[in-house]
This record gives sequence, C-alpha cells and structure tokens, in this order.
Amino acid sequence: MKLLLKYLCVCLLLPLCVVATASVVDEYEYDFKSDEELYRFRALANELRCPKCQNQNLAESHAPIADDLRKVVFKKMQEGLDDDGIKTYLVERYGDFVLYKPRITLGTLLLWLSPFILLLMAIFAVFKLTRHRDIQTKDLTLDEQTKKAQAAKLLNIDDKP
Amino acid sequence: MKRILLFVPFVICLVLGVVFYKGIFQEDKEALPSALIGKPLPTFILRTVIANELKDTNDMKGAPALVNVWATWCPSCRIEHPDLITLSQQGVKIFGVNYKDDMFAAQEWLAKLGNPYVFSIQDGDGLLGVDLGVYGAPETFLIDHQGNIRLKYVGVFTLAIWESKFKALYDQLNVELQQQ
Repeated sequence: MKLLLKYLCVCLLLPLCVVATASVVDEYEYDFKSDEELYRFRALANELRCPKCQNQNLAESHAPIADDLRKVVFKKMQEGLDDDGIKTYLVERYGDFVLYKPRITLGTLLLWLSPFILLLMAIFAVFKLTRHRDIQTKDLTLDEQTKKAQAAKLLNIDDKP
Repeated sequence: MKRILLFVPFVICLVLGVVFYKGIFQEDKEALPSALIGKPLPTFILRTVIANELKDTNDMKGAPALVNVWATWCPSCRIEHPDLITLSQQGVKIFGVNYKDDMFAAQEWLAKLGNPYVFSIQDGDGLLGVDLGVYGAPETFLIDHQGNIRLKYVGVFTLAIWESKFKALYDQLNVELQQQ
C-alpha cells in the first residue's frame, strides 16, 4: 500500500519537472520555416515578460505591446540573432524585468543568493540555541551542592567542580 | 557575543520593513525603470504628422527638451495635453512621437486641441517605441542637447510632475549648455 502511494506521488510530481512551453496566442500568424523555429519562438515568448501586463508572458498576453514585441522577436530570429542576442536586445530597451529568469549579474547576485544565505543563518541560529549547556556546580545553591557531592560519593564518580 | 546575535533577525526584519514600506507606497507600482537613462535617443528617420516631411534624430538635438509619446486613441494623452500646451508656451521645447496612430486623426486632434510640439513624428508601427522602451502611452522623456535620455516618466504628464521631477534637471542642463 505504501509502495503504491509512493509510485502515485512520483507519477503526479514528474510532470512538474518538464518546463512548460505553452503555445503562443497568435503563432498561426507567423510563417515558420520549420518546427524547430516554432518551438524556439514559443520558448522565447514564454520566457519574456509582457511589460504592460506584467504577470503574463509574451506567449499569453493580448496587450498591443506584447503583439509588437512578438513581432520583434520573430524579426530578430529571421535576422539570425541567437536567443541570448534577442534577450539582450529587449533588456537594453526594457530592462532586466522583461526576463522571467533574471540573469546572474552583480546586481541580481544578491537576489539569487539571499535564500541560501538566510537558510545558513537559520541553521546556524538553531544550532547555537539548542546546544546542551552543562549545569556547572557553582550555579547551584549551597544545599543543592551538598546533595550533589553526596550523590557523587554514593555513586563512586568524580564530582566535577 | 551570543546576545548580539539574537538581534540579527530583528535588524533584518527592520531593514525589510523599510524596503517593503517604500515599495507599498510607491506611486506607480507598475512603472518600469527606464533602461535607457544615460543612453542616446535611438536613431530614426520618420515623417512628421503635419507637414509629412522627414526628420531624424539630429533634428531633436541642440537643446534640452521633452519627448512626449502620444496618440489620439489614448485617453490619458488627452488629459495631459493642456499642461503640455502650457509648458510649450513657457518656452519648453517639446517633440512629439505619435505612437501607432493615424496621421489624419493626429492632424485633426492637434488642430482641435492645439499643438505644443516643435514637430511630431509618426511612429506608425511602434518600432521607435520599442527602441525607446515604450509600453503604453503617454510616456515623456527628458533629453539633453546631445540627445541623451536623462529622465523618463510613464503616465499623465502634469505640471506638478514637471515641477517635482523634471524642472530642476531641465534648468541645470540649460545652464550647462550656456556655459559651454
């Protein structure tokens, strides 16, 4: 039963590992020379943010600017620019925000590293705060100290100062 | 030593609080910072709206000026228009970029509402707009005499915005130009 459950979980989670490349809203309007071109166009459109409808990518946005930018992407593909070149072309004009995956530059390094830094700090804090502290004899009251010495004698162990 | 460490989360919280506060009370949360600040105006050769004659980037150089992206289909442009007229009457040079619009509609609009622009160029397909990083009219740029973009504002350009964000730099650029 447990094994079945495990298999079920893996089957359900596996599709999440596949990067979704949804089709572009008006891709039928473009004249792609091959399937590779179409897939490349889709991949780019899915990775670029619409500057107007900022929670949508270029593949799904119906905004006029998204329309224009898709045409620009297609034109640059025809001109022979590679993916990096096309992204740079748009970042030069609209800024880093237009990329769904921000590039790793000095400016975005903190963005990428901060979760790990915070995790390390949290682990460090937990480690420090839960370390067992030995109760020293001098912290005890006189009465408790006497009792501790008696107990140590009975048990034949050395009473630490 | 241990005591101090306990304050670290509190300090982080405080810093984040300041950052979030600034973000929440920001004016236009959707405004993208311009990637073109400090860079030159993109090159273009386009026809003007009224005279239908060719102009290029160099025609916008020579003195600090505003470049206003507008269109007849844009309601906010209608709202900001009277303030642009006022500014042009005060002597501020304003160039227009008629963005994805119809030439005749634009001519009619300017005839009816007044023309604050030295000239307006027709960016019918919006390609100059893409080069400028325009994602929705109206947008207004401040350029210096060499045609470098110094400021950008997205939204209705009012006299208040001019006073608070643009005027100081505009005056400074004029002073620098005269000292040359």
